[in-house]
Amino acid sequence: MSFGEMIKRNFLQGDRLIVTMITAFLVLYLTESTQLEKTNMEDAVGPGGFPFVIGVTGLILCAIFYINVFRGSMAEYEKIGSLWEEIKGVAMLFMVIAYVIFIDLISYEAATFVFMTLSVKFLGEKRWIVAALVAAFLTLACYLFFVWFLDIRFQTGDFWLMLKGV
Amino acid sequence: MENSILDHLALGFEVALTPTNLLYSAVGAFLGTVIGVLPGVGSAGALALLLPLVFKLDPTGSIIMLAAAYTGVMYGGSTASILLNVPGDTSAVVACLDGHQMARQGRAGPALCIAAIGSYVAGTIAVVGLMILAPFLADAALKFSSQEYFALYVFGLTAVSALAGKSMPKALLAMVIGLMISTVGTDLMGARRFIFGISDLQNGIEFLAVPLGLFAISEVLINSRNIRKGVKLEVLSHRIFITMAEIRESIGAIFRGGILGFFIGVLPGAGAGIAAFISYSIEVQVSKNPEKFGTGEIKGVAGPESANNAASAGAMVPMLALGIPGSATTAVMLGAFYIIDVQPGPLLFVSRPDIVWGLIAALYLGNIMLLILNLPLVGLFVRILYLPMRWLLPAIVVIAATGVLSKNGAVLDVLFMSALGAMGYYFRKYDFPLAPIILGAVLGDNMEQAFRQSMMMTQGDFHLIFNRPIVITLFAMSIFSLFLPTIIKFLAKRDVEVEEDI
Repeated sequence: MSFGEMIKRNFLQGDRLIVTMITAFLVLYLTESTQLEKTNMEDAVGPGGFPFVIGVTGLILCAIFYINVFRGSMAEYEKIGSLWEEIKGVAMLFMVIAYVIFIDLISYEAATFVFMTLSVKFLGEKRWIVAALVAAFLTLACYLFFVWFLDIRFQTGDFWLMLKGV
Repeated sequence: MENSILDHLALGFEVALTPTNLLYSAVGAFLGTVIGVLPGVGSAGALALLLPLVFKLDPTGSIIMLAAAYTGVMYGGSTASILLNVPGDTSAVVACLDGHQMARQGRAGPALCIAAIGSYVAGTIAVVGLMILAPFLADAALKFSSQEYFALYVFGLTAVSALAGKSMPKALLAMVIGLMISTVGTDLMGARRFIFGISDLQNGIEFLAVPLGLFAISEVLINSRNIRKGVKLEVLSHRIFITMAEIRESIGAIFRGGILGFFIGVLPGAGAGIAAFISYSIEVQVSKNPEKFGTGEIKGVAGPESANNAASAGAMVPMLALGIPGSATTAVMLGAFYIIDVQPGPLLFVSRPDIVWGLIAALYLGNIMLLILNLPLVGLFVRILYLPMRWLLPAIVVIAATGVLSKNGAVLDVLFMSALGAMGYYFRKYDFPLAPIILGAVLGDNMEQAFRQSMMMTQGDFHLIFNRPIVITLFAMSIFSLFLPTIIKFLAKRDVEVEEDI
């Protein structure tokens, strides 16, 4: 096995890739924790003390994981597929992110209705009218419960404010 | 003493059993359940929403309604966890582990029933504890200093051994991620950490985004991928009622959860979530088949559900006996007492026995109301699972996003929820358990606070933390709890080898 293949097999595939990413995060986290300064001299530990312990513990655990990988005692997993396959697999996530962004833009109620209609259709509903009816029902239920009953105020939409010239 | 308690209790029931107060109790239990089912509002939020009613209703009636609503919220939270894998708050997260698995096997009815029965029995245990032990326990709880709390949180973290699933290193790494999440934001001394210039992160990552992202959104992603791939999702016929065998199997877990939950609830700040996690851990450790946990084991629902309900009654102890609210919810309750011009504290039991014993009787009645209202509703709740997945999945996203948004109105929190959803999706794909992340996120903040306060008290000498007997006991229990699964595995393996030799 070439060096490149060895790296790919042990660090960049399946659960190994996840642990590699966690390791990178932990290094960043640990670096940041060492740079935090005390705001109170009475504080024996300081703001970075606890995170430092977490970071070091995490890195030790990552090391244990890799030792297990090299010893061959970790299960082999289905490899993470091609980027396009992965994007298709989590397509719904992009719809969720778009929904969240649109809440700010076109208001909570409108974004909820649009998101519900599109995602119900995306997941296999044959008729647009059914998708729109399901979306309208849920939007109304959420509005009645959260806004009318619980009196919670959501985003009203920058786009509409812009149109009104506010 | 006993006669006096019974006399007082009789007075309490006399107050609580009037038709008007019974109606308040039923309305409170119903509203609490409805609010509890949806994520975001939580028990403190639910009581805060009902607080204006205290001005309008008679004092005893309003306190009775709030008490019933409190028990209702605690039960309602688990309904969404079991049916949809959408945990309403921290204490409902544990119900996702086995409760949702039961629902996926067509056993949503028994899961909901055992949650209701467990809540009722544990609530009753806690009310009895509240009646008899309130004054003594309140004093004992105050003797818990930051050292004891630190040891208690360390003991809470050892629950990871019960949540580990297939790989302990992966579970511990997941817990480390949870602890990392808990350190984001402003610390107890006002230092800003890990916010990377994003001012919205000063208050930390909204906790609700963590369980909703990891459980609800990842569930949606997995199912939507399956639908798009053309995998036929089996529509199960769900059994509505629980069998006697299932009740018998769960009864020990309910009692253990009830007693443990009550004592943890008494400790100010410990909370129902911690009670649920520790109860789950204990159930795994005492079980003859620990490998069944996480795959739809009914005891994994019964124990934690009982513990979280009992903890909510336990939290009343320091509030009533000392006037100290141990949680946000009891703080709101305390506010209600002030509104009706009642000062909780040691004298309350003498000066206003009608209120105290009315409340205790109301908590008991609230549990009965829950059972009466919710057991018939199990069939209705289960019908949600017959809706087509293509309707249900987007609805879960909307409910989760609305729940997170309703907390602070911050879109960034919902984006975090989505990101954690993606993380949960890949973690589940590669067998990283999700529950330890929640465990770390729940305990991290409190644990750090207790640790730093302890270090300040001991002027930086770590060894002095271990000078107290409760601390030593809790640490010994932690070590025992962490290594118990390994010891059990070792002993079981040795038994098999001995049998093979014979």
